[in-house]
Amino acid sequence: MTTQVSFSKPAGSVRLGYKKYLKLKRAQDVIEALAWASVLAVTVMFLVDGGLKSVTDLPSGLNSFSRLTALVATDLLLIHMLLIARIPWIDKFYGHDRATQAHKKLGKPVLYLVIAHFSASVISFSISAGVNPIEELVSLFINVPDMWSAIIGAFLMIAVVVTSLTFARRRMSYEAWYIVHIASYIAVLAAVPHQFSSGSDIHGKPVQTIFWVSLYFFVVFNLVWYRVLAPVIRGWKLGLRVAAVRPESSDSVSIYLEGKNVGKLGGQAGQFYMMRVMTATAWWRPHPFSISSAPNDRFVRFTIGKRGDDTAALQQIKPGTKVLLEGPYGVFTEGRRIKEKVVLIASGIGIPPVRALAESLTAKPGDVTVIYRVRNKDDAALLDEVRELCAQRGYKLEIMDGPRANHSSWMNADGTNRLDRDRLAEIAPAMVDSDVYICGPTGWTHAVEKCALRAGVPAHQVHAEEFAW
Amino acid sequence: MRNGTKAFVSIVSLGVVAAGYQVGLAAEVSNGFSASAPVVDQTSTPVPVGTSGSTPAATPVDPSTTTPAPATTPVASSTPVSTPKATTPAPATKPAPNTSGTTHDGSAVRYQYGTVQVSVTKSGAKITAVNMLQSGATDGRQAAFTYLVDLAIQANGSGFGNLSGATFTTDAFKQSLEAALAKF
Repeated sequence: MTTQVSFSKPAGSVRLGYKKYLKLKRAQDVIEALAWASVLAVTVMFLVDGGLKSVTDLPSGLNSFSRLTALVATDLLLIHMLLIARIPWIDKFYGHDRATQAHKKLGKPVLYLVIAHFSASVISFSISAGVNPIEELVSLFINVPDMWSAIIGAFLMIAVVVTSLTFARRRMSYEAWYIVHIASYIAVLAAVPHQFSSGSDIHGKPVQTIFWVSLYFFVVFNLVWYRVLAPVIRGWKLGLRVAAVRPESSDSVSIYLEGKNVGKLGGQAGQFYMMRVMTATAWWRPHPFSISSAPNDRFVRFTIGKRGDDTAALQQIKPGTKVLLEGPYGVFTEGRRIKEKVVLIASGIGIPPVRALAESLTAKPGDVTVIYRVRNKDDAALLDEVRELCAQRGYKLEIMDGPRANHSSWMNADGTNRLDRDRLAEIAPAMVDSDVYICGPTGWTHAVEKCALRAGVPAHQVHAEEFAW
Repeated sequence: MRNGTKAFVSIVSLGVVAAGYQVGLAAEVSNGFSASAPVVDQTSTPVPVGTSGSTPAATPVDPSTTTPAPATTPVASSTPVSTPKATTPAPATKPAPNTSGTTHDGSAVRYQYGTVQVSVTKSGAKITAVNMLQSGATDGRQAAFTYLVDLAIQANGSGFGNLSGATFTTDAFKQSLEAALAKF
């Protein structure tokens, strides 16, 4: 079972220091300020247009409210879409997980704003016309151009958010949820025409029209290019195929991909790709996998565990099968490192990115400590490689196997009753002055993060990646 | 965002919003809609009180209760401006006698805020007058018709932009106008 892997040499130099972190924060501030500026811009355009001045009675008040909620909702909706578009310039500064979290967080407020806009306009119009809201809604649907699609879009949006709520998602298959999410794009498209044909704040106003049209084009360009065209074009250029599948433990395998120009794939150790197996039935279901060896120009390797139907099926994948990769994504990389010393902590099938990082970090012997938490030493993925690597490079390796010490511990039982924190300080004495990289299941990762912070590691030196999607 | 940036952005935002609000207060808002067509610019933003000084009646004018006179600015007119909200507004016409051209009626267009019907008078290829035969519209939307009549005469047809804030009214007006024009 010993796979012969020759380790690639690290780059040889790396920029470190607190300034590197400040630079990142500055970039994040700029992006957030831009996002905020877009919300501010639509609000100010509304105000300059006399949006509040026109309020004289209940219907006009509702009308203004409906206009403002519509503007802010649309703007936030576009941001919401950008956040999930896996755009490199967002991913680079926030990482896929934080962008996805922000995307999820924004979903409900956007929906509330859309509902507010929807109800306020229907009620406002119905008071003006002297009919009941239902009648008004029907009349809007039938009589006003483009309003029928907007109304359908609003209901679709409600369906999307409801099905994305955690409780519903647990009961739905991934496939059903996926189809509903595709429907969200339809919902957004359905709402676009009425904004330009009847929207009081856009229709007939050149500045606003230019602003919104360019905003839409910007988002559409980013979505279409980064989510569809770029991966397809690159996939075609690289022509990646499965070269070999090798078992790593009783429940994990390594998949080796080879192609014409693997070296051009780019990417850094610690990053992941969305992998699509290009067969008739599986191509539409991408799976996130971290590369488990440093990027090189011979092969790409993923090491995957059995975590569901698809990953179980992937273990049987035939050599020669075409594969499309989207990415690389993630900031679990040396790009975030600011200290000389590094502590890498992995649990179970969280090992691949840690293994790749250990291979590619620029470090002196003794600077890196690897902690690998496994159930069983004899059945742990990549353990031999990690051992070999640490021996060659002079890194400290701590393997923690066996059952948990207690229900709140992230470590194994060692017979003593010491705190995780104390044990961690013993294994990695320089931890406070190190970058700590953590990869494992969600709950475990949080436990380690908390432990490191309590032990005194500054938050900006803790880098965690969850493999929860 | 870091706290410093957040504070800075918040202060700037407050300033920008306040400025936007101030500009918005000065903006011309007539019953919630403003025209993008150039013709309205002539009637826009009544000069603040004090320039003429002689007409104190012009001061407390609430924009929602007046029907803006299309051709003359409130300041220039010496007559009291506060026209009561007309339920059946006097047809806003250009003072062109109908004897010089032919007149056709458009269809009565029923839309969500009322019914619109126009009659169009043309002298040769030129629209000389547009009369409102029916101009029922709820909630002050009647005020839009004076603008729309002006716009139609200026554009010599229905090829003018919408009055934003009165999009539906504009559409209904245009529909009746086009029906009338089709009869020539």
